[in-house]
Amino acid sequence: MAKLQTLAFEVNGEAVELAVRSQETLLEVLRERLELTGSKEGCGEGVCGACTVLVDGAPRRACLTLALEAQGGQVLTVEGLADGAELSLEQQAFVETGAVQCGFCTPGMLLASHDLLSRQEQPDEAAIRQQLSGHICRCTGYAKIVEAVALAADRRAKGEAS
Amino acid sequence: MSRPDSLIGSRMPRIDSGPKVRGEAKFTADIKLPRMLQAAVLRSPHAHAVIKSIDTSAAEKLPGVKAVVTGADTAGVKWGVFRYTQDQQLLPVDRVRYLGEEVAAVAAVSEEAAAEALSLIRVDYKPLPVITDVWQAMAEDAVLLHEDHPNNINVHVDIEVGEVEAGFAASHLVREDVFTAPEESYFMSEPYAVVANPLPDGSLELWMPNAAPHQKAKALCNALKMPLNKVIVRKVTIGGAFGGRSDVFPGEFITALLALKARRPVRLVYTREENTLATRQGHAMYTVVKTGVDKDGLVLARDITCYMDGGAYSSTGPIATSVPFLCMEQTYRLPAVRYNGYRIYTNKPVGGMIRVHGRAFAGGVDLQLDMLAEELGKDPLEVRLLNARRTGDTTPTGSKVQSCGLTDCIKEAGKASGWGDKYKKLPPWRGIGLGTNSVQTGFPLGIRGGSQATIKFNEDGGATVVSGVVDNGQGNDNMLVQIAAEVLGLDPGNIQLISADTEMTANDPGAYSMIATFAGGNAMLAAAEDARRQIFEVAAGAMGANPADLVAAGGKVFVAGSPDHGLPLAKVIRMALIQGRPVMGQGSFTPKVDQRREWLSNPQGQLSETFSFGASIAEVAVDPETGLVELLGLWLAQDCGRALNPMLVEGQFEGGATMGGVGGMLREEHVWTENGRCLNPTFLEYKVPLACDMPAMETIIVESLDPTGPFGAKEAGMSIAMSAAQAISAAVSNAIGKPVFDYPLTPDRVLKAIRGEGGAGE
Amino acid sequence: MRLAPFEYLAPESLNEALAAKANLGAKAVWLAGGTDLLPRAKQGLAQPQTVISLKHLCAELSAVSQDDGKLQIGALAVIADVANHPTVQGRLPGLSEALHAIGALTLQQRVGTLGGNLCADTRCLYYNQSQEWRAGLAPCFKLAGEVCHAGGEGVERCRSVNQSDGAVMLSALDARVLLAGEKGQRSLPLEDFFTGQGETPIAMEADELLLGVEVALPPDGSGSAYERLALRGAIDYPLASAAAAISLEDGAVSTVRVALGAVFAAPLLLKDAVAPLLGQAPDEAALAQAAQRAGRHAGPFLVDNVRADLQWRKEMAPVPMRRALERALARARGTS
Repeated sequence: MAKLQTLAFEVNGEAVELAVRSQETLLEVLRERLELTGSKEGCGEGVCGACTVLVDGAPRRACLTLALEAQGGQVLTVEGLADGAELSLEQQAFVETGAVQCGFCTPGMLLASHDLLSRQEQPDEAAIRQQLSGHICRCTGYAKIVEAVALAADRRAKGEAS
Repeated sequence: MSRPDSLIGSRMPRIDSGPKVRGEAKFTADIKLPRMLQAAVLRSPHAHAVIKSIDTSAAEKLPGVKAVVTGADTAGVKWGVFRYTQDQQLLPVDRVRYLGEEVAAVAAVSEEAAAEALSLIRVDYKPLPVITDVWQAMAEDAVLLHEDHPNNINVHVDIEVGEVEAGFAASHLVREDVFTAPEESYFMSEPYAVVANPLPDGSLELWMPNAAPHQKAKALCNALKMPLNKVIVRKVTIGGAFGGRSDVFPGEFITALLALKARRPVRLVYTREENTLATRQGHAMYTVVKTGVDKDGLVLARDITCYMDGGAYSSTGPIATSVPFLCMEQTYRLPAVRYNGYRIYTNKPVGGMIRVHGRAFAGGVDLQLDMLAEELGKDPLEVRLLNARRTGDTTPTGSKVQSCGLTDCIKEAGKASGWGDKYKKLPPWRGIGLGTNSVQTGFPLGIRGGSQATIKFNEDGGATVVSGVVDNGQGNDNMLVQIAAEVLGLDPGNIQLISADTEMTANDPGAYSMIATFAGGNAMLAAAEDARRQIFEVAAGAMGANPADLVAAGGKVFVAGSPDHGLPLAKVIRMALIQGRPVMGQGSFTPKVDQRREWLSNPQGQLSETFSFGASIAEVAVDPETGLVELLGLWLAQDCGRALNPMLVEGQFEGGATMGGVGGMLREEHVWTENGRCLNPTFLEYKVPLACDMPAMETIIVESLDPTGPFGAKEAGMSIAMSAAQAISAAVSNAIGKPVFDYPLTPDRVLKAIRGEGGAGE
Repeated sequence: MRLAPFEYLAPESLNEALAAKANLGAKAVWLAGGTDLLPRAKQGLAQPQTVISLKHLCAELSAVSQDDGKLQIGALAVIADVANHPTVQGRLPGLSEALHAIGALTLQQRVGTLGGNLCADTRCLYYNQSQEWRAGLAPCFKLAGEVCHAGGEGVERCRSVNQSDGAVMLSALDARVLLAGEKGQRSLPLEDFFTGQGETPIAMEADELLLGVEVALPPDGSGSAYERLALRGAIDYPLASAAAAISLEDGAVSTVRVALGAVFAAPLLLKDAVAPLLGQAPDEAALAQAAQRAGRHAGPFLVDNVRADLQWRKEMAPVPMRRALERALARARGTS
């Protein structure tokens, strides 16, 4: 049996330290140890994207990431997007445009959107679709999710301009 | 926040979207209870075998294992949707009939311990011949999956209305074609999961993704031999259903058994592979369609024979075998029609109803009509209009159609897509096609056919509304709150919803067969109107006004036209309490259907109180070298009665077109080995469409204002899932100038069609 | 899906990493982004006793640099960074195309590495399945058994296929890999890096690590292109793919290299098929003929083990080949 190792990292801005086994995935640690169940396991093989979190600012499939790989890193999950009562730009846009149906893919979609908006000022529809194409949604047909990301980008651009 | 004039027809953000974007909505696998155990299921590695013995002794001795169950713990208890289809042992005692069927299960302190325990269970199987298609199954010498079903015929639906042969004789043109498709799958985002928690009072609470909590509770109480009020299905967030959560599965029974045996909470979470193999799949279909038309393309007679691969057990068999026909007879006027639907047992996972149930049925019917139109030199769109169902018609099996906007759907979609400028005018290898369909808003469901709602008020004027309706992700929770808020003049934020919990809510049919808005919405509407009537009586007394002149809006009650001179609702509620007549709204709604109608023995009478209708148009480009299809545009029109919330209706259209059309008609299928092994049970090799695969979609909402739907509403999006699939098959045929008989239209099938191969059961 | 237990090491330096691997040998596996290893480990297809994380070597092994007419790409370079590198986009457009086709955009950032793509295991519908799924089947050649479920009787070895987009393009570009091991470093042409054996598709010793890839920058008048057929626009392995790299001198083809993917356990290099193009200024028909020859070579390798109809795959092999040749030639001529 592999021995326990100490994992010290930051999750949604909070320092966390816990003993993990080598084979534990980041998704297992987030969901079961830290009870951050917003990240979902839809396939466990890195295809559906529902477990996507940002590690040091880059999207990662938490189901395909060993928890120890995040040692010393900063992890952002869907629970860390909102600022208290205030939803993030992407979250607000998802709500307003009807981009959420069953909600299972939503956390991964939001983090992919957050990543895109952090890298690109004004992504066009093609860029948004490309970014979201690492994620499977079975409910919406993606149209309203694409609309939501465009709305969030638009609002940010206007907010920055004013 | 001030409330807009009317919530009905507004793009009100869903009440559940806040918790979902925050990652706070709890799905079943997110539930964690003190001392909760993890369950795992041992599944058959054989598609067909006799279970000679099961030895669980080593597993039981493994440290950390708290309960082990096998068929021996169950007395072979069986499940079936109907009394006459109870053919599935929830844990098989002596025989397994598909690869992946449950054989034993354990509950242990960790997933690892549960997995290790499974590896210690010894099962001695004697393999039996494996049947993987309907022709093998119906062969004379075939081994029978269920001894009481000769030729492995599980269900035979036999319908004949009008003079079919005379209709063909009188026809100017008659065609007979064969259309085929293999199984497809739901691939709802959330894999199946169950949590069962035995409570000290002897009751058992359960959470699982479901499409009808009351139905689940009833089935489980029968199987567990417990009173119905002791089996409590709780509300939980559900990650999609699409027809794949409607049935009762061994998973919840097994989890309940383990929890009762261990006297601890137990959680079972399926892998994606288990979700595919051990819940439900769509039916493979082989459909023979024969249609006769007059010189104008008016259909005079139609005869359809369909063979559906139902897999190992009945599930919703009689319904599944009937629905593709029923959708068709609702869509088109048919003076004479015959239908023989056969559902056949094979050693494959169990077939259920799916959102695109019958691509090789509806796709074939529409395409054949296009082929007939072509032969007659007619525009297919005009021929569809000629045959389209209209308000006031009666379907061949006797359903009166009280509202129908099908012709408007066809015309609007035609206009938006530029059909007139495109049909036969597109460049080579480009095509345009039309699909039309209709779905029900519920079936005759006997004592579970009606929905009930109640509304209570707090002294601050806020309301709590209670309904058995379940939300699978389509927005039913929001629908209930939107309706109550509209009638009561309350801000939706001032309404607390209790729903989908069998202990706290009254009976409800569930989110079956598109019934939720029509039945559950109407029940909530009735409850809200009842509450408002009581509120108006109290307010009228205090205001010296006539109750009939009062209006509830913006959290106040006032005389129509004088919003500044009213009473706050909170004040009226408190007055009612002081007067000893507290406001409590109650409502129920049972659709007017013919309860004598039975799927097999009496397929006649009102099937559903009302029906929705839709038409989709697709434009495609085909690469003649590879057979790959590129979608250039989708125009989606549906008569949903009334769009209570256009934003949600559009989402249903877009999602339906994606799953049924783009996925179902172009990519999605299961492939099998001859031993009944599914080669693509996971997301990687089952090709669900992605954002980059989707064309621009234009949604067209047609409102026929149904006379008895809540605010005129019927159903949204289900018929689009089908009509989009039909439109794409028609468009591809139009592009290549040859009919396509075999679906989905993967590049190999398209190339074969270009060469004139395929069809006729090839 | 849980991973079986293993030890985890995250060495701080290359020397430390190599020493650990030399010590543990084949019982240890390298972990880069994990997108190939982790699914296989969850399915029990990889059963490492130790996982050696390369995360601390990223700085050392991620560089993309140019030296003496050659482009050197570190094995841990992030796929998106390589695909978007100006030199790659300008001089090796086919490589940019191939890398953009891998997985999905969110997998190309940070987690997807060039080395990981090159070392990705070969694939088969009967192999890349869960342990439970495989439990009912006898072990196949790739699992040290004696049967090929996809090919049936008469097939005497593993027929799993290489579906790595990067490997196919880099093979056509005649790239070399740089390996480090106990005894020092060595460089291998990709042709030799891939064994062509489905059972053990990569010719790396148990002590070795892939340090990077070296591609000669083609002279002016060169072009490369990558084509693939798939059922989805992302998260999909190619059903058929082809890469072509062409250089012209005075308008005539001076070098041409092509490779097919999703056919064989290695990118299938087809020298004879394109040899007649040398010294020619080929027209469309000549390219189509070369592609047909390539397709004919591919046919016998194929068994029904990828999510597409076998006959279709046999027919399709020439299609991406011809398209890649056409576009590579157009780029070489400066007409695209």
